[in-house]
Amino acid sequence: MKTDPSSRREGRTPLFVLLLTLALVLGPILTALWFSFHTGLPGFPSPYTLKNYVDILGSSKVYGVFLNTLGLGVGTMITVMLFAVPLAWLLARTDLPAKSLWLTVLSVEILIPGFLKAFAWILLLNPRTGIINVVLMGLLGLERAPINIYTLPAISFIQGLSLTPPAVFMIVTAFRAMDISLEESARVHGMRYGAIARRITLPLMMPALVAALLYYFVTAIETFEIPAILGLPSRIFVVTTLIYESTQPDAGLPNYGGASSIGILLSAFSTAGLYFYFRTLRRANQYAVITGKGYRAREITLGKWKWVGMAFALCYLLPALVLPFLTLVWASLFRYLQAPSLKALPLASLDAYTKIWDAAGPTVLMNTALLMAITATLVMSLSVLISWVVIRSSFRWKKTLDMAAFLPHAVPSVVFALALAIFALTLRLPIYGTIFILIFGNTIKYLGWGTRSVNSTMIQIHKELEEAGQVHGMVRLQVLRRVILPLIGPSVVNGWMWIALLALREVTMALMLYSTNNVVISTQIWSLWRADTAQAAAIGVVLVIVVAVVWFLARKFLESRLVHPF
Amino acid sequence: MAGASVGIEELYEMIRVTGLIKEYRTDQGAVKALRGISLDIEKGEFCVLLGPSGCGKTTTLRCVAGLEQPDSGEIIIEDTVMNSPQRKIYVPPEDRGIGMIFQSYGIWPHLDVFHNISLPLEHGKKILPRSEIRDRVAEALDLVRLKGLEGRRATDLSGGQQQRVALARSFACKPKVLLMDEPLSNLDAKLREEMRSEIKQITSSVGITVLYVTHDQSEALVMGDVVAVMRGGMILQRGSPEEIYSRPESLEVAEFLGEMSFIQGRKVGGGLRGPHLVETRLGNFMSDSAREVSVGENVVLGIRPEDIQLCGEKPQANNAVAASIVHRQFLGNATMYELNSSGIRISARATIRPASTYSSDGTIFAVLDMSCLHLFRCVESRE
Repeated sequence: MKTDPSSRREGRTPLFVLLLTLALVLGPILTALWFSFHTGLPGFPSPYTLKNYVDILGSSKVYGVFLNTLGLGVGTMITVMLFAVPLAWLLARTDLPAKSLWLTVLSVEILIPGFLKAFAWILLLNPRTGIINVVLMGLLGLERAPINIYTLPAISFIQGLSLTPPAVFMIVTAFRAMDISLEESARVHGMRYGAIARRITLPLMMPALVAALLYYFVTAIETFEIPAILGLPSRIFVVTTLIYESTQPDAGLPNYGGASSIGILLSAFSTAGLYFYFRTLRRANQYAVITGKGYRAREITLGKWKWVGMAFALCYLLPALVLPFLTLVWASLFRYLQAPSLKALPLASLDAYTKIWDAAGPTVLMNTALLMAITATLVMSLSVLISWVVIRSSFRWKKTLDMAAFLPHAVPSVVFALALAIFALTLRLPIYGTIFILIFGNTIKYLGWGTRSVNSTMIQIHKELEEAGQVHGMVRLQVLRRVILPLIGPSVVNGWMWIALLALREVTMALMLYSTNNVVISTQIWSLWRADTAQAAAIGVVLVIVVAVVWFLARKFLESRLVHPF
Repeated sequence: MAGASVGIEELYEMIRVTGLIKEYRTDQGAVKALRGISLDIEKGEFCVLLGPSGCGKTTTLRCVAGLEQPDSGEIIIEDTVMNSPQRKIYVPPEDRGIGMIFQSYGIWPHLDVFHNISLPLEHGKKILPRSEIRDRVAEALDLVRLKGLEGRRATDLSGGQQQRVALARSFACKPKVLLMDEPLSNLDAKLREEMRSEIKQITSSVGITVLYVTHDQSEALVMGDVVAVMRGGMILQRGSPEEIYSRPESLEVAEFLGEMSFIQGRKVGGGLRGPHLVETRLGNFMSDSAREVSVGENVVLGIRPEDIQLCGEKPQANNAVAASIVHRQFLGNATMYELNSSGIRISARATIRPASTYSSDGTIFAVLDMSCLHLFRCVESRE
């Protein structure tokens, strides 16, 4: 009898993992694709038609929306690069003071929901009562507000600010991957700083920078919350908000078919973008030579330029974090928003905080807790299984599995939520309208993130550790449980925490799949905002503080336990 | 080849390093990387810094390059003070007129071979005319036998070729000194030996002063005109390869270079500068070592495997010791014996043919050549 020894030992686990992943990921997406050729409501029979696509091509409104989306993508990308490249350079290559503090602030910032910042910016810059506008009008004696937040450039800028922290980390990694002796060998042979930057550092960094540009362009056109909050009031639509509008119109029936067709086009576009991102990244990795010696890159001494670097970092942090947060705190203290002054202080009250339990409500908190805990657990369990098959097994379809797990990353949240809604409605699944459809959506959405993070940890664990278990008679699944899991455990816990916190800040899918039964904190803040700004702001402030504290505690606990290369 | 070295007499000068001290601050506190390194390298000399990893050899080299700065000490290259923290002098690497080969070669992956060599010439202190840059690149490529590869992309080069391009880049800059940081450690064994002799040949034909860092003792012995053995941030001994090998000044140097067996004992007779009579657990030995040791001092005797003669019957000679064979290793051109004499291990290398006939059960006799029996003072601590 001839059987491949490794496949015998692995059994059917890899095949099972692959089929499960494919079903989870492709089920909803294919349903949406199928429904884009139908009209009417999901779950009711309707004939095949190309009407949705014909409508898109014939509509001048959609054409304008595409242009807006492109504008938002480019604007966001420029803002991100403007802040992220210098920040990453300062953090990776110079002796900027308080570096670890900056890095901490940036990672916490990733977890602060973008919609909270957008709300804060409305308070600061709306044309009628925006605090900065009012102050500027008073100071300069202007008749009209100088800045309008409800415009495309403003939306791009705010979105760019909130996408900068992850971009900084991406570019810092690229700076660190660069072999420092490439610059040193230029110096010792007499090249000047300027020439080195122009002829060596920049060309070497170029692929990584282009990759980052592409990635954040794609991310920018996929996001929903900031263009929804700042764009919808002035009817500036981008593709994601148009999809939302079609499924939840102010009047008339939802147009799921039309939304699907636009969603499919957007997904195709972003998938193409990510494909080019990976291609560029491969080029970048070719340049990243890993050297023999662990010589720490010598940091560039900033000297008196130190203050310029600090000022630049503050220039980012003030508008991106400090100002919005202070605005939320201020707004949470007043039943009716006051311009910041000492005169307003006697009116301040902590009412919103004392009523926070009623405002958030036990159901909402329960929903949120379920969403965070179950999503994080499901994602990390699935990710460990998938990564183990992808990195370690000899399974023939492991590349397919890896791609399947990453695919949800390429599909915008709005589109994925739409697909999930159609999927559930068509199959009449009882999870529609419950918290479980949100858990389902979040799990698949963060699967790409989870597998990436476990992959990178798993790859660091030397294969021989596992083989040592095998040759001494352990079965593969036992090896996974007894050898690998204990080693990657802390990283998995770290990933669990991140996903729980990301699910906490997630609002796009929660809004798309909203019902009165599945309200979570993020959607609660969203719907409270118009009715009771102070209350929404108070919940936001508490949310930010809780996230920061949890992050710090987890960090302290996990820091020494995280996996190091063997 | 000779044409390339025209005018070299005026071009190349020496390196003088005095009292380099450097500390690194780490999480575990300050680590002394250099504890007072002083080193003179003459014009045209090939000087090798040899030592285990973490001994400070690379740090020394990088200080000479200007990529690191010492806390104190002075570095002079060709009459110019390049670095002196006390006098607040620091010349950056780009102004030192040096060439350097990195462990990872530092070949720019986005450029072709020509531009890897020409870039420093295009963006250096002096602006050179195009034609001269072309000539210099061609000359340098000729020197490293890579003529005709100008257009090859750097990522398409083999390890050995990258190494040659790195050499060519340095030579094209016409540096005063050439610094090399373990340049051969990323090559496979065969290529390493090839490049070893080639580097030696090219550098001596150009007549350039070289400071070369390695942890490989055979590399150091083969290549160096002068070898400086380092450990713990200090230079233990500096001398020609022959001196270092045959007259190690300390136990550490002897241990690090080649193999040596040690016997503890006490000097009981003989003159101050030898010959010394040493009493040990294995009996009395005579040593011709020139080290000054007075009677009564505790000493350690050291002998290299090749300086031991084996015989089957008790010989009449001095310095003979009876031993049993623990282990025998046939090497082809010689046989290595591991002997045990009253609990002391002695390695011996026998090259004459009948030597391989000693069986491992009987007693044999080892004669330790008196002229090659090293004598070291017992050192309590290594400070």
